[in-house]
Amino acid sequence: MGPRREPEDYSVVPQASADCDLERVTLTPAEAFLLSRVDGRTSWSLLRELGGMAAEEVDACLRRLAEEGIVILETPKAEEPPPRAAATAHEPAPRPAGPGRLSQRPDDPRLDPSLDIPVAAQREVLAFEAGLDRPYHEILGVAPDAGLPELRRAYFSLSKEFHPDRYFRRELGPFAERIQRVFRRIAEAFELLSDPSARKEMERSAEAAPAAGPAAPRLRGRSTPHAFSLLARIGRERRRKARQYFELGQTSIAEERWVEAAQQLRLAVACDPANPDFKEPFAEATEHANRLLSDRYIKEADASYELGEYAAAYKRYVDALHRRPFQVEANHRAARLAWRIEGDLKAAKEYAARACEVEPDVAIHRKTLGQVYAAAGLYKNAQRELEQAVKLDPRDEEAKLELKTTRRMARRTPLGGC
Amino acid sequence: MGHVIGIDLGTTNSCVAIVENGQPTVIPNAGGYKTTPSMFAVSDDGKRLVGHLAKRQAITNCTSTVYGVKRLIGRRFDSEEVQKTAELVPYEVIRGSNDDARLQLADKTFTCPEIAAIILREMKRVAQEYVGEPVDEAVVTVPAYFNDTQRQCTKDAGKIAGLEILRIINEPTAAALAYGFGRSEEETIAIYDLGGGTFDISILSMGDGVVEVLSTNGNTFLGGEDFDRRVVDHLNAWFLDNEAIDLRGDAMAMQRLKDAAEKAKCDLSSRDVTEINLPFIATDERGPRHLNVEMTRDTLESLSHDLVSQSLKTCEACMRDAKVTPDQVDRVILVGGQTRMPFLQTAVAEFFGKRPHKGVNPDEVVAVGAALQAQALTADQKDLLLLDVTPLSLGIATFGGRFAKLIERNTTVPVRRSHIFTTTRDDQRDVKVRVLQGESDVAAENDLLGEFVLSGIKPAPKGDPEIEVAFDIDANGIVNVSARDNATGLEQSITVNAASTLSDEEIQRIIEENPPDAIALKV
Repeated sequence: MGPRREPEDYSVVPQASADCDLERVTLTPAEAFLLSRVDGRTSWSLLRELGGMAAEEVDACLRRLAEEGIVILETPKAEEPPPRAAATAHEPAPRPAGPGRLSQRPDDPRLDPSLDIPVAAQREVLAFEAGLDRPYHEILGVAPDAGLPELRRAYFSLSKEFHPDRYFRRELGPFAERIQRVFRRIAEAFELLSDPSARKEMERSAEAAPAAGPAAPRLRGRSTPHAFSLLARIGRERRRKARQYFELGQTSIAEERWVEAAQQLRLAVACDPANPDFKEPFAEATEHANRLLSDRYIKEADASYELGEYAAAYKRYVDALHRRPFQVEANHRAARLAWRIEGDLKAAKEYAARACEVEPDVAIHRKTLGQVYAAAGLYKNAQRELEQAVKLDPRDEEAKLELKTTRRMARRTPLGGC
Repeated sequence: MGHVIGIDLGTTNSCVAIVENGQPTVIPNAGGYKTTPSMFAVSDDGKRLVGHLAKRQAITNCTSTVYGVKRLIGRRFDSEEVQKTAELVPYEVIRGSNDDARLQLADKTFTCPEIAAIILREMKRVAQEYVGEPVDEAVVTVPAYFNDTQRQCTKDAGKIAGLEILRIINEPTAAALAYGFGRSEEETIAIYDLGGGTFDISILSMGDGVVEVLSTNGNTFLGGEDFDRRVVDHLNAWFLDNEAIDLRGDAMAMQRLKDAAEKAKCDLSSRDVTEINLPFIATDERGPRHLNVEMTRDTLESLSHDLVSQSLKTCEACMRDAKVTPDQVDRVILVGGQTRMPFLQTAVAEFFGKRPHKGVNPDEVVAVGAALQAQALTADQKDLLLLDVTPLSLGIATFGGRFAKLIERNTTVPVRRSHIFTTTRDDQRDVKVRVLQGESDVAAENDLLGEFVLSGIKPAPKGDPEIEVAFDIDANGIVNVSARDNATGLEQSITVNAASTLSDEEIQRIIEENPPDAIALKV
């Protein structure tokens, strides 16, 4: 420790330096603890009042940290505004390194005036990059509870500065990758903070692991930049949730509550898509659930159909087929309804074709498919299907008549051309 | 630095714009038109025609006149889209050597990028005549749903046309850039783009010169041509009822009907009733027959209202993706000629609960946006920034033929995402990473972009190894995929080149066969 300096200015707000290499130095637990309290907002005098350390010890630790270049004890000059201008509505979270800090030493070996990006901008990029591990709201420079308009304003403002398109086709050397990294992090911060459910999960996991909470500064070298990455924690949280849903689903399967089981297992798969254990039970429960629901829908659809409520019947057939696509009768009815009632020939063709695919030798299915093709102006296809229909049921006069017209049309140039 | 232009390469019409002294200008062609038909023809005497010239002779030379090539570009010959289009067009669509769709005109086969290149070169020529200097760089727009192959084919077309394509951007996004130019308000906007062949909807957020895409959606088979086809069918049915003649077998009559239908549709945007008069459209034992009928706006609406509802269903899906409700949309902008239809405007207004914005020209706005993006990329002064998204989800095939998405569609680029995967067998030594693009959960239903093997994994019980697969997309949309065994640090990676339907040699051959002056066409 150097000779005692007089007098100490305890009103100074110590700042963590942006790009000191923490692996280079060895800190005592006391120094590390104190460093973890240095957040760019707490003044020296407040740090002395913190519980757990004697004031003299605080002074000694801070001086050591300052000597190592880990903490900066200078009073910011009045004409230098807080570095981040993204959000002005509230007290901005300080950038880890502002003007006059370590990264701005003219001899910073990473600065390269020969590049196609101004040295001042290089400094900005380096300074921002050094703080990429900060909590997301600090990256955007907004309050932890900032609303969507404020988030977006900050995001747009930072994007203008750090989006790679700003330097389109310029020679950037290593800064090309740096700018990508900075922008990706900014976009990630905005994406997660603007998504209410992601935000809730982050808050929950922050409570569970207070050491990495939003206000705590990072004690970590460059080698493990994302050790506490919130994304990783969200991943763990999701996998835990997936396991819970999975267990619920297993119970439901055991009790043969299939619809419920399918829903729970779907959530499990959604939370952890890569888990191979979920696949089989999910498929099994879905299969059962689909069968149950599909049967119910078809009953409802048949009832509507008998009552002449064709639009409602069609809707239910579609629902049923969505659950189980290969039901012949439902496909056939859906095809006729799609064609006659909805005028949706694309859907009609799909249903009719599927009915034929499952039971290829039913005349009436072939006839419907043929009629749908004819309605769509696809006469060659129509002719093929109607020929089949007539072959299968030579007594069907309607099909014969239809085939005759279609043959005539099929010989001509298709519609819609010149 | 030379001039950079923006080109809207449309299904039916194309348009070119440039930014001069900070102001975007749409460049008219030699005939004074601000849009040029995306048509190409080989005449009987072997002359090549493009644009208005090609359109004018389409009636008499329909089998050698190409339109709507955008529906075919970058698609497999066997795909539903190509088959459907082939049934509707009079020219011949054939299978190419790479299973792509190609066109047979008279005795020559053309690839789709070649035809697109002819249109692009025409637009380039229009621009060069206007600025009086060579133009060799452009931003070109494509529909939002175009996949990587279709985008790559569009880039190839640029190469053949002697244009370096700085960036491919989505049409609705370009429209938003044009709308956002010179505005600083914070707004959420919807771009409803119903063009000749396709429908696109995009929700965007803008403010302070930044445009952020929230979501996009679309329908490849919904466009102004579908409205025309309804009118053609209607006219033909009317003629059949009154004259007992079915015109569908008569190619020339159908082309006249098609032209008349398009004109009637446009007329009915400003009038309640229009007359369709096609003398001598057919002849039979009674002598020449004429088609002369009045059509009202009501008739047109009842023929086509379901097409409008279809588009609104797509809008709903898009709003869901953007997590935006109709009342949160501050402004609705209509793009594409078909949006001039009053009934459509009313329906859209009802859906969003507000009158659509009238301040942009629906035919030109996309080209203007492309020119603004070209300017924003190349100029020193950056006052416009587009935060674009990846249009389709990206991921890898996993055990059991499933598709694990690492980057969801509509994610802002550049982006990097990683996920931990593992082995499925004890002591498994290598894994195959198959990179896919698409929305289906079933791996086989998505497009394969590339694959590689990571070997030398440390022997371990199944499920133990941690293999980190990372996807990286840069601002130009180039995708890099890496896989890393966390136990050994072994890593393997590829840069995914979207599959084109043309090889580099083929592109070179086409360029050599068609030197610039051979394609340069007089109007």
